Amino acid sequence: MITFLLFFLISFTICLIILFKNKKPRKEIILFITIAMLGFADWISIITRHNFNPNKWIGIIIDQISFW
Amino acid sequence: MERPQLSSWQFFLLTISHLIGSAFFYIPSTLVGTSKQISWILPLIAGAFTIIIACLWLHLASQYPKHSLIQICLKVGGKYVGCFFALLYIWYCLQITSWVTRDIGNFAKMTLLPHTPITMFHIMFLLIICYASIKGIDTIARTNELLLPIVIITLFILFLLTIPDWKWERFEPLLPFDWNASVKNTSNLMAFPFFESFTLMIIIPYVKNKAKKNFLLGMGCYTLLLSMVTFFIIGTLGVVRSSHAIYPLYTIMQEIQISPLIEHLESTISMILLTTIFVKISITYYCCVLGICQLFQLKDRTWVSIPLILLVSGIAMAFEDIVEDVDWYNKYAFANGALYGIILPLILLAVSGIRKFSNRQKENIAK
Repeated sequence: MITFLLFFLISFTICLIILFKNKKPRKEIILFITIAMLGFADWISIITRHNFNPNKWIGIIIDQISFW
Repeated sequence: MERPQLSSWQFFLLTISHLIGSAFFYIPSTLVGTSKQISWILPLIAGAFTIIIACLWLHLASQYPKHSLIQICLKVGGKYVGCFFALLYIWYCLQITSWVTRDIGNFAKMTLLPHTPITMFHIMFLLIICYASIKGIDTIARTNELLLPIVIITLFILFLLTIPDWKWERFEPLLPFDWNASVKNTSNLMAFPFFESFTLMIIIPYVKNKAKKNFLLGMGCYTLLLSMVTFFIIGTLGVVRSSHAIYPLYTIMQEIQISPLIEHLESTISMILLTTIFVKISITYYCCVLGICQLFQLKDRTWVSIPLILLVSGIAMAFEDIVEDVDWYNKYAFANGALYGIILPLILLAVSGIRKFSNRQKENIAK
C-alpha cells in the first residue's frame, strides 16, 4: 500500500511538473488528472480488497433488463 | 493532431490481427466443449451473420465519410446524447483492452512464469503498448504488416508438422445438431471477437481506399482461419481432450515430436500468442486514446496514453480468475456485445435517417 502510494505520488508529481513546464492546454491537464485519479481509485480498491468490478455491474444491469 | 494514412493492405491485416487476438486461442476449446465434432461449422455461421451486420456498420460509416465513430456519434446525437454515445464506445474500447490484457496475464502466469505476479505482465505489456499508441496507428500498422505474415506462415508450418497425429475417427460419431447450444455458442462468438471489430470504425477514416472491401475481406479470412483451426484441433487432439484444455493449440504443440531434435514447440505458439495479442491491444488502446482525444478535441495523445496504463491494469484485475472470466463470457458476452455492435449502430442510423429526411423536407418547403 505504502509502496504504491509513494510510487503514484512521485510519478504523478513528475508528470504534472512536465505538463506545467511544457505549458500544455488546461483541458489536457484536467483530463490527465481525471484519468490518473480514476486509475488510482481503482488500484486503491484492489489493494483494500474492495475490488471494483465493472463486469459485475454490467452483468447486474443485463440481468435487470432481461428480467423486466 | 497528425492525420496518418493506412494502405488498404495494412487495414486488411489490421482487421485480421484485431480479430485473431486472444480469441484464436480461447474460443476453440469453448466451442468444442459444447458443440463437439461439428463445432468447426459455428465460426462460419457466426462470421456470415457478422458480415451482414458489418454491412450495417459500413453503411453508417459511408454516410459520414472522413468521420470516425466518435465524430459520427457527436454529429448524429448532438452535444449531450452524442457525447454519451461516444463515451460508451470509449468505455467499450477500454473494456476490450482490459479483457485482452487479462488474457495475456492468465496465459503467462499459467504456462510461462507461474511465480510472477500477474500485474507485472500487465504493466510490462501496457508500457510497450502505450509507447506504440503514442507513436500512432501507422507505426502499429507497419509493425503488424511485418509480424502477421510471419505468424500465419509459422502457424501453417506447425499445422503441417502435426499431420502424423491426425485421425479422421476423431470426427466420429457425428452427433445430431444441438440447436440450443449451437445458437448460444454462435451468438457468444459473434460478440467475442466479431463485434469487437466495430471499434475499427474509429480508424477507418485514415484508410486511403477500399476500406469497406478490405474490412469485409479481413472478416471473411478470419472466419475461415478460425474454422480451420477448430477443425485442426478436433482432428489432432480429439473432442474430449480439446474441450478440457484451456489452450488446446498450446497442448498440441507441447506434445509434438517429429524427431528427438524437434519436439516441444510450445514456445513458438507462446510467441505467436504474444504477437497477436500485442497487435490487438495496441489497436484497441490506440482507438481508446484517439476516441478520448477526438471527444475532448486534444492535439497530443501522450498525456492521455500514460495514465490509461494505470486504469487499464486496474480494470484487468476485475475478474478473480479465469473461471469467473469464462462464466461471465458465457452469460453476458452477447448481450454486452449486441449493445455496441447492433443496438447503438441501429439507433445512430435511425437518427441519421430521420435528420436527413427532415432536412430534405425543410429544403423542399423553402423552395
